Amino acid sequence: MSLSTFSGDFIDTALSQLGASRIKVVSGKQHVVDFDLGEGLTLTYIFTITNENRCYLQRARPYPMVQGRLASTEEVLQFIARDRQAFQNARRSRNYSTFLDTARKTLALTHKMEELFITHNLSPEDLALLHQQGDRLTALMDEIRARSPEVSCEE
Amino acid sequence: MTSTQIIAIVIFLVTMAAIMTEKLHRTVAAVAGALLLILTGVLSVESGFSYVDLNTLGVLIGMMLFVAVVKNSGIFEYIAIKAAKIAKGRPWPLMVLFALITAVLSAFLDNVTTVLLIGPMTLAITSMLRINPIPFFMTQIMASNIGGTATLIGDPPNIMIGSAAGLSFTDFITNTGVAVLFVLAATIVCFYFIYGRKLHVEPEAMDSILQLDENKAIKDRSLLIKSVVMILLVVFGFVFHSQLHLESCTIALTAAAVMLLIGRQDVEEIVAGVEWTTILFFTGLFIVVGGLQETGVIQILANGLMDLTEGHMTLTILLILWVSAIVSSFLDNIPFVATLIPLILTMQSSGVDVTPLWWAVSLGACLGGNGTLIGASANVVLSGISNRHGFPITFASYFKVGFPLMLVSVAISTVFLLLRFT
Repeated sequence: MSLSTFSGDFIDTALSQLGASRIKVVSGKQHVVDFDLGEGLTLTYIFTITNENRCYLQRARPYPMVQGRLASTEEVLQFIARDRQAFQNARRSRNYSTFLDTARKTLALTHKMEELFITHNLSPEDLALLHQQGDRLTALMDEIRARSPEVSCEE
Repeated sequence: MTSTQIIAIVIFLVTMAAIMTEKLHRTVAAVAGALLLILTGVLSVESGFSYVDLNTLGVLIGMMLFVAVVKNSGIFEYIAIKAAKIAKGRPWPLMVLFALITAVLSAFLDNVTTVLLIGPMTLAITSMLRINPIPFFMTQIMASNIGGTATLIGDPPNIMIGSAAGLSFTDFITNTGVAVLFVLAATIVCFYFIYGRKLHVEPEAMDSILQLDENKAIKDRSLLIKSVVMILLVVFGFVFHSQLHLESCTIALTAAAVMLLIGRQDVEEIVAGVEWTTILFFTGLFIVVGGLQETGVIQILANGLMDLTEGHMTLTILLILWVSAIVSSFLDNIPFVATLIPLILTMQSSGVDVTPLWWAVSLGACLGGNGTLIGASANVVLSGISNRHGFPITFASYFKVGFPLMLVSVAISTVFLLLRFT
């Protein structure tokens, strides 16, 4: 046990009270936490606390999202609590499975783009075309946000 | 003085200086010191390793493995949450309960392990109560050192003393254990005046504690049940180990082996979790002190001590108790005790009844650790954690509370030893 296990234990204790269904610790540093929200929805978070007490967080399920380095253990807790609540709210929506499909497609799109850049020599015109499409998608999302009612993520 | 004696002394002093000043990692210093003794011919490999106390290493390894398995059940978090709910979130009863839990756990586990087990729950609960965790950390630091004094296995110095002197678990309970009861009671009373009267929590924050569910802390119910049964058996084993004609390390290692067998945890993870640097540190340290024994330096020191006190037992008890306490307040008590043990054994071979001296060393070295922030590893670890989470405990702020309380505890120990042995 060490300083990093202290921080990890502190987070694990708080997460178990928050309703974590499973907490697995690997090598005393990496923590894999599952929240079973029912109806097949499981959230999985992976956080790592180094010996220098640096915290790294990512969500693995329902789709991966890397949060990166967080400033403190409290930030890890706050992020997971907010994210879990957001997914609990989202699950109640009739568009939830569509949203999941869209999110996974977006992720697949990112991978496809990465693979394209790494394995092909793209012309500047094609690159500009891809960039434009990205800008159009961002603008569309801003339009949709403006005309959609906001939902509170508080419990 | 012969050249080998001088070499042994120089290597010992350089090793101790490296450990105390933390210029080198203590394990590196101890192992390097041991190897230097072998390379310079002061010790052979066989004679060097003959000074390694395998019983001490066995107890340390056994209990580390045992705790590493048991911890995965969530039992310690369960106990902490249950205690918080019994206290109904009221800060003073909570502080007392956590201090008592820390003291009891520390009587069976390493002090650093204990504060690392209770500490996360303390931080979680004090943040829910919206109060400063520092008073709780301070009381737990001191409770861990006090509780560790009570038993054979509570603190490494006691393991070493028990092993060298052939003292049993019951011997410690009926000597240091009794003294610790008085010390703990007095210390808790002092805590009330220092912290207890000033703690205040809003009622809604106290209510949030009652919303905690201790059952959610249980990670593995089957492992929890096995752990509870094994903890009871381990306590039984330690209490009766001398009647069973078993060394304390046999009890610890057997407990570890059984938990590894029935716990169904990842063995690689559990074994990797043992503090092997600490085990290597002890190994090196035993050999470095062994160099002083082999060359007769310990005999010279023992003669010097007996000349100084002129065989006066009361003076010797007081000298050893208070010097141990003051030294342990500022320096690592393990090398100090490791050096004192052969010195006392040498006095014993000269016909001195050293029984009270063992208790003087134990009480002084263990309780002395409460004197300053650097007096014991638990102090350094928990204050470091407190600092990292935004609640600094400085050397001065600790000293103002810790040193007077340490003096009170050693004064109580003085009265105890004088009444018992003179």
